Amino acid sequence: MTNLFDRVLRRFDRVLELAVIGSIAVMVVLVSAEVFGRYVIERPIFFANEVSRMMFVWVIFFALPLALSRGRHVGITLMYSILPPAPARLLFRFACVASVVLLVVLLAKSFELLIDNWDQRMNTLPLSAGLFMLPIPISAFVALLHLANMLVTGDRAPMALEIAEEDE
Amino acid sequence: MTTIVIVGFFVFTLCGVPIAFALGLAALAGLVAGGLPFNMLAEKMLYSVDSFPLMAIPFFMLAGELIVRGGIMSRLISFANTVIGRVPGGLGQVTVVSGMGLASVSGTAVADATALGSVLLRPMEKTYGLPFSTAVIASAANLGPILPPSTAMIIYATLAGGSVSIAGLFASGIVPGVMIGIAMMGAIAVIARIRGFPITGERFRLRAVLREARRAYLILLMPVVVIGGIVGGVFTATESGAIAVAYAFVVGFFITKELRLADLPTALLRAGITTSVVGTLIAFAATVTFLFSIDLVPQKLSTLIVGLTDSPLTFLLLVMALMIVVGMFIEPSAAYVMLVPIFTPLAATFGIDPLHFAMVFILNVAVGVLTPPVGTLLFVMCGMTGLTILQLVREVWPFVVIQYGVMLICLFFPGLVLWFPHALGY
Repeated sequence: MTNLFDRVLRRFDRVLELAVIGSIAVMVVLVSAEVFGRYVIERPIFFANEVSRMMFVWVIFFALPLALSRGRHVGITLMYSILPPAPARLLFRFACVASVVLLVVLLAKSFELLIDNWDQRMNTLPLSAGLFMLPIPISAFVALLHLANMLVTGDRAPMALEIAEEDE
Repeated sequence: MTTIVIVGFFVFTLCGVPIAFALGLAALAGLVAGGLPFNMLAEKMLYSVDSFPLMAIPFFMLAGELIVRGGIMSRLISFANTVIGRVPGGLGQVTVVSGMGLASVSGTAVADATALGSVLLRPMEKTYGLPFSTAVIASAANLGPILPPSTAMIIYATLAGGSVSIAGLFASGIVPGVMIGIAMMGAIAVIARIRGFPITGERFRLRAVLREARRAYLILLMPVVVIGGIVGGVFTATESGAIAVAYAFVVGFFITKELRLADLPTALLRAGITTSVVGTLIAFAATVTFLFSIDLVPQKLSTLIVGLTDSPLTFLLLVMALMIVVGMFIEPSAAYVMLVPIFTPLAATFGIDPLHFAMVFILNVAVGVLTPPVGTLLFVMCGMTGLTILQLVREVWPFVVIQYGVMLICLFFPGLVLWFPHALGY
């Protein structure tokens, strides 16, 4: 069961990694091409600004669960090192449950907004403006899965480190 | 409402909840206390990061990644070595100059520390020992947020609500950054003399300098294009960031030929995750800032501080003293997110030039990554080298003093910070 859950989580992470990589690549290409178009061929790309902003929003939210699982979100873990193991475990569970509450609210409310905005159009392309909101419920959902995994396994190391250490 | 938000934030943070999530939870508590709809959380999160200027952050991070992976850093170091390698503490001087060069294209201290450490740590360690070498690399890397382009400046300008421009801030950072660099080089020379470090670099030869300059000219041109484009008003910071990425890619792929296509996914992912850490903080803090503005917190704080003093200098000194303490305990992005929206309007009520306040604020927060107990750069460097925090702090303190010293000089002499941006019309 745990193996299956791990595999599913890894699959979700892989999809998000590809989304992050693709989104940044599109941002670089679009913004560079826009500058080239504006100064060199004098034909700016009219949708570059809006689409690249959307890609940026995607990067931030799609990478949120990835940063969580890698322990990249900044936090103060002083209490864990001061307290004896049992209270430290309890405190960690409290931190996880509090984060779960936040993400459940975020998932529900961002999903509502996504539905509300789905019929609105973007300014420059015939696409839904709801696409801007799309990554928030998805990232909240995957982050919830990671937190559930941490709660079950009691693996408190990855949740927050005091340092933004390089992960590779 | 404000009390609940502040208490909630500290309780959740102390319980080990990541700071970004603690801000979100504090915002939720504030929304409950104020009887406001939870929809605001998601709305504010989206709108706070739906920002073209903030997009410069991943670009400058990615540019830094490509510079290291493309072997560009090595050519810059070789060039610096032929120019200033044969002076007391030569390799340390090369590290500072390389750090300044790298900071002129990349924008963060941690990324720059990794880049400098990967190339310079080994050769420096042999001559100067591990603790001093690590301290020099950490301090040189800390020019990343001070010299343009700087991620810290982009975040500050975005949070300051239009009171300063990114280009103006970039122009303001040049003089303090160069001052710190020169002072660090002086300190390295003095320490090298006192400790009797051997002189290791090649003798200065014009032919060697010209040879290395020819190898490195496309790289040396990079900051001119990137920073010149921004402060000259040709590109926005974001466009300049994209150009830096494209430039680093072309140089690494076609000129140095060390960058491989297989390097790109990792570089893109690392830049994405680091961006997300900063972006998530900004997104969750947006609701907190909104709740503070409903409760008129900046205005109340302003009345309180004006009651204490009406002197702009005293106000600046008070804020900077507070920021030294904050910088010791809180990671820079979190400090900007929480404090810039509060202090920027306050500085304006005292008639302090927004660029002056911003630059002194950034210089102060930047040094915080080199001070214990929560110095991000100290942890990164100790993780990289196996040193203890104490060993590193013993060697890094002269450079911390220099950075605080330059911050104080800039605080008392605003003209140092302001003449260049004002000359450019910012």
